[in-house]
Amino acid sequence: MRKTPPHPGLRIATAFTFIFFAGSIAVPLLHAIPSTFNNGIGVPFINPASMRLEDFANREDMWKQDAKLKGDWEMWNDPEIDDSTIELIHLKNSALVFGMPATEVTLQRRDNRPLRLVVVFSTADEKKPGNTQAQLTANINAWSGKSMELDSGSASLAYEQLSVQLTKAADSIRITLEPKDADES
Amino acid sequence: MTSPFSIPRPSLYRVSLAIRLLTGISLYFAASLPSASAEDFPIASALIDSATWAQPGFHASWIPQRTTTRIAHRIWPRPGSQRGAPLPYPRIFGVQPQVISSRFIDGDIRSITLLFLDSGTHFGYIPRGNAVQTAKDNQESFNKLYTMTESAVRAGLTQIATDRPEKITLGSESLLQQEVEIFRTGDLYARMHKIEDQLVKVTFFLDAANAHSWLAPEARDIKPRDRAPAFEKNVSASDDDVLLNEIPIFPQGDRAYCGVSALSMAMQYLGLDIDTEDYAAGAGIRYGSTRGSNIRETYEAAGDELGFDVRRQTKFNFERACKSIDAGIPVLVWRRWSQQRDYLHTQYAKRRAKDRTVKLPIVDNNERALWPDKKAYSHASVITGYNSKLGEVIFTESWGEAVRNRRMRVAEMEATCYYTFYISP
Repeated sequence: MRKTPPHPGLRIATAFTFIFFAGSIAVPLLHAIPSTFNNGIGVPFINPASMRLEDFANREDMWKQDAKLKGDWEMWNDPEIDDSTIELIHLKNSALVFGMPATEVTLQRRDNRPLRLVVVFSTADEKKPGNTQAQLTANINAWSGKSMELDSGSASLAYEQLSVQLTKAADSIRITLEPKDADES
Repeated sequence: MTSPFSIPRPSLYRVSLAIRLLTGISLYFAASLPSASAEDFPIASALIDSATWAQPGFHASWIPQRTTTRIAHRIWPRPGSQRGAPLPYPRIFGVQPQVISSRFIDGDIRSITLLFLDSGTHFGYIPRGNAVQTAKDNQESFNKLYTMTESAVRAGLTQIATDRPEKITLGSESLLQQEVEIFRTGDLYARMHKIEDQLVKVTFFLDAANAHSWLAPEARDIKPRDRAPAFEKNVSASDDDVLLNEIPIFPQGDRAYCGVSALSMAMQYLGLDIDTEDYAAGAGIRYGSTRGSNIRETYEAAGDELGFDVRRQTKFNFERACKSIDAGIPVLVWRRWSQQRDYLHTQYAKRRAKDRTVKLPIVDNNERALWPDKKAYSHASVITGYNSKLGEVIFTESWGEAVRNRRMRVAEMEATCYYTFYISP
């Protein structure tokens, strides 16, 4: 008996079905090849400073008069700071702080004495709302071994040399690091 | 302390060697050495004379010195490293090695490797999206570099060799098979590996048997099952942690080699002496990218080469992993990874080493939301322990001793791991 050739439409449909299934198997496999590189390399602040920014901030000598700063800094201006005795400098290196990429790192000084470090993390492009804040809180807890409780978008923690304060703004999270015994505003 | 350059107490054999070789070698290298300093690798003696390897000064120069494992991978520091400004190594055979490394076993140097050209080291980490362009842009120049390197290294080895090289095939599994040449250099055996557009390296061995096999002496002619008691002895337990502390660490560096470095760490511990770069070549990691490579198949080939069974599962089974660790055999995982999460694991492990009362975050929906998902990087780790009481998996990375025995909750490993490789004799 002579076989009837399949309808062209059926052949196209079969081909598409095959491509769909082959693709659905192949795509996850393509993504499944592990290929991270060395942790630490590519974390720019760490390389010039040989330490993480938060570990640097936790050193007593960081807050001394005329303290020699690690990393590359430049003069900066923030219109929100109206105290003319405060000098503001900005970290030129990109930095991971508490394991997250910081958008901006600035240091406030008076008479060449560091007062506080302010680290800003943008949340504008956050895929899951609240994730940056939650991950920062978890990482600060892991770093300090203490528990930072959130209270209406703000939290603080005292650890060794430092007071760590986390505040939430509309499209950013701000972490302020200052010496525990700081008596200046 | 004896200097690496001091001359060993000569035996009649060594005097004979010195007459035949040292003059010629010194002249050969003189043209390529910028200047000899205490930091320079003692080329003229270390590649032909095993006595140099035993000298305390030479022995103590390799870093890191602080390793606790029976098998330790160490590197010869680059000149200027101590001043914080490392320079390239001096030329050897007219070529600057990328890395000079050694393998210590039970505190003694068993082999020294001169890595002259490794594609991963040359290109560094290339993201998948740039892989095709990188290959296209560099194919011709890298091929030239390979040809020049291979030719110079071969000529250099021929010059110091006392005999014609012997050609052999290492390995039986197709992904791991390599045609290599073995040169007799003084009282050492130099094994030259060359894989076109990928790898040129020479490993010096103390004896012929090690130069002729991928297998470690303890793995030759012994059935894997008969070796099981030896692995069990490596398991230790304290404070509810069950640990396998004998896994050597082979740092992957700035290369897309986490998968093959993790494999090399587990397999060298079990007795298969294949280096990370050989696995990378076998898996087809080219031009710095894992795109299109066969790492998964290489895992299975390594198991077959050693006579072990490597079973891959798409889920992480904690009980099965614990059983494997109890038997002294590591488990390999491929998992989703993020920098943010990695920070937490690192900090927790550091803190816990000082304070046993600290705890990982409790697993709830908020915590789960922070775990890396399918869009995150893929990474390979070696499971080196567990703590059932705390519900923690203990794992080690191919980054260095500082990241040995990090910890995460079992639930996180279950949620982020997409392949688990269980190895059994």
